[in-house]
Amino acid sequence: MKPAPFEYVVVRSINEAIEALGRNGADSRIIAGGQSLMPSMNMRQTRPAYLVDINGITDLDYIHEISSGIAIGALTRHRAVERSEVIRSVCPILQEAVKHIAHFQIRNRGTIGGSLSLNAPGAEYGVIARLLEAEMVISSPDGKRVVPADQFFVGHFKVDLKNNEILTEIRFPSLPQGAGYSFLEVTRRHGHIPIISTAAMITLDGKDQIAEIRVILGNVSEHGVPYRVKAVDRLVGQKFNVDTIEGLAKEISDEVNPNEDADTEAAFVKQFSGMTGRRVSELASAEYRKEVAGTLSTRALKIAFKRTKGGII
Amino acid sequence: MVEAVSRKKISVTVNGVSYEKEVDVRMLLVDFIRRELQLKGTHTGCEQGVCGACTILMDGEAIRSCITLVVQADGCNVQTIEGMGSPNNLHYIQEAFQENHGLQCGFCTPGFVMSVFSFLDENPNPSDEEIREALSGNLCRCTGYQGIIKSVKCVARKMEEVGIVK
Repeated sequence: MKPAPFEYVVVRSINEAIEALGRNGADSRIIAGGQSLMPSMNMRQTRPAYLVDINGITDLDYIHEISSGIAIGALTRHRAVERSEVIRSVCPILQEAVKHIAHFQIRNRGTIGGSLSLNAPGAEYGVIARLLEAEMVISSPDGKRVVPADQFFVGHFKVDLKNNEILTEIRFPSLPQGAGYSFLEVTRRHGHIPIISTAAMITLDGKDQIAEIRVILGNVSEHGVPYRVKAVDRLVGQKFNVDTIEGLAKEISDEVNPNEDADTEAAFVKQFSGMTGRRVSELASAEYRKEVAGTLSTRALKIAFKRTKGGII
Repeated sequence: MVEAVSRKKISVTVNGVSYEKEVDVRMLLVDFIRRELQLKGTHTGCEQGVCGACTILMDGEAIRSCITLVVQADGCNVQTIEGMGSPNNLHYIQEAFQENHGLQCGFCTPGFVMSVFSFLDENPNPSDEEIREALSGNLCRCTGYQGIIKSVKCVARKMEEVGIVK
């Protein structure tokens, strides 16, 4: 199918973008890479009356090392993140996650700002942003505001962004020295939509005990946001070994609560004419995701632990 | 103040030829290539960006022309399968596909050739694993992929022998 008719404007600055969005009202959408928007428009699931093309705001395409970690401009393509030497040394978990986004042809166009603003279930950048407690820098007619990741993701395909606002920069704190990390996801086939994704990090203290431990799960929360696992908190102050993690997978599965009714609320599922989450080929049942949440998290933690300084299992 | 429009005049270079056309802003790049320029080698398989049949190069990068608006190609350099070679003068990638049963019906093939060209440009000496991963974004219903993998390995070998290093 082809997109429904719309009007189109090219903007070359953030101010022009905000002005164009404001002028054309609630039916305006930003188009950056368009790798999620255009499939949706081609299926006529989304029918914006106005498209504001921001690909000309080249000032928003950058990767900078900052004192706390990395600042990435919202228009930075996934492929740039994938190839960046700076990110490889300062924030390698970002590269590990971005490699899972679709295929290289998509990554040549898709942008980090677009991905985060969409908040698709299980999206790789969202899970990493939540793990590292990234900050979103947003420009609006009233100026700039900064929103932490845990407040930015609000619901299924919903973020804290008004229609006339634009995400301009994302600041990722780097992991602490010696931290182990990992990113894993389960998909129907390579490069396809994440059924469930997870990011984990561990740091050890001088006595090989866990100082910090964090696991984020994507596409398990009934609220449609990246989910921070609580069950792992009991491991703080303990060593990471077969005994301490016994039962952890089940505890995590018990804790999470994916919900198929919530799934049907997600516009993503609606495109398949109201079929429930269980029947849609791209998603797996809530039951499956609940079960796999524990296994995948534990696997991610084991990898993260192996990567801490001197970690062995 | 920039005005929103429903039609736009664009300039785009395709396979080395410059075009200036007025287009509907909602026209997809693949449809521009096929209908306006009559270059039928680029195919539409899904209009979702997942099958890879529409893959072309824009400013040197492999992209999905089915999820790119033609107006987004304004000022850009596009290369399609027609720009790679011709029946009497096959590109070495097309040669390799021909020699190694890399195609049957040929519908997915232009997308594969463009993707392989782009992939090998960056990684001229790939492992099997890397080839499979790189081409996971191109779907083929006929061959079962073995012939395609063989073709790509053959290209990599040809490139090495001829000394094509990028």
